[in-house]
Amino acid sequence: MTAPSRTRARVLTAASIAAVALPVLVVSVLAGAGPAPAQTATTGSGAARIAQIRANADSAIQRRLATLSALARDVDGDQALSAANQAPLDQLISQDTNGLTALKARIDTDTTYAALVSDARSIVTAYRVYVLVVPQVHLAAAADTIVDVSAKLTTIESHLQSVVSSRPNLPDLLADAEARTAAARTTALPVPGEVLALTPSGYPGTQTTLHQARSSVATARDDLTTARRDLDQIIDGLRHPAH
Amino acid sequence: MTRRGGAVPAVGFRRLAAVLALVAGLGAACSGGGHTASSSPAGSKATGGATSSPTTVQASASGASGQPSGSASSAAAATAAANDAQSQLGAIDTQLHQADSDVASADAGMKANEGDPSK
Repeated sequence: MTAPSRTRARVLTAASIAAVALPVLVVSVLAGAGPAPAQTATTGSGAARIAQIRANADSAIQRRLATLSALARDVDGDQALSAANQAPLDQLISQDTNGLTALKARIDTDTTYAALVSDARSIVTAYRVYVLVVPQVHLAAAADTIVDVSAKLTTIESHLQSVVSSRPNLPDLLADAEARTAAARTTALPVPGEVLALTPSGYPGTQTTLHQARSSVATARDDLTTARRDLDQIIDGLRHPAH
Repeated sequence: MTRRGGAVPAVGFRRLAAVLALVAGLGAACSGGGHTASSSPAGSKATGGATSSPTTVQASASGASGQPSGSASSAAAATAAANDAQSQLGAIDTQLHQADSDVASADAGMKANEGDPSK
């Protein structure tokens, strides 16, 4: 980083901190949360602020419930998803849905500013719906799909075995396809277990595992792309032997 | 009358038996192969004979021996295997697109800003 950009970064950082910190201070003062966090704040602008936080929290919960509902539909409709992975994904989504629904009821009846703020924060910290659950579900589904496709490609490759032997180059292509397919399966197979073991309490450390899982899925997908290309060439070679 | 009448039927039966035997023999000679083949659903009076089934006709067209040649058979098997593989790859491609879509959704989640509803 150059000196001017470093300076600009410092200015931006200071501005960002001020942008976050000032409203918090103002709200704390208005709500009387400074000296007595558990104090009931039901008067004046403090009450308005509480209403605002409650509205924000309800809205945040509704968005997350909608996301979880969409995830549940995806999981239930995914034909490639194995039963072994579908069950824990369903359980995770159901558990978070129930938890957020109960949390909304609690937020709607919180009587102190401190309790409300704590509960509102837990919408994020206790669930991590966007940065953890969404990647968990989609990475597990992608990995499971890759494993399923690998099994299908292996069957196709075994059927082609007997007809490529007398064709130049085709046995080598088939061997490469088989190796890539096997590698894809090996790489993708542990991913669902790895990501499903993650919990919100492990954030932000969970992101390292998610990025590794994402990388494994990408590697496996690349292997399948190569295997798929090999098979295209084999099919072309079988149909047009003169090539 | 009774005696003559008795002798005549005896001679008549022997002749009748001989005629029936002759007719039966001719019938058997005429029915050899052709009649049986034409009674098969796959057979046809136009082609007739033992080669009237479609499979045999096709084999005859493939080679002088009535069987496909080795190279023709190999080519046919290769083409069939290629077509079979191709027919399955379409569904596999759809699944791979779904996996790509899942990865894109996971990426979007990992980059999300969850905000802070308490502010």
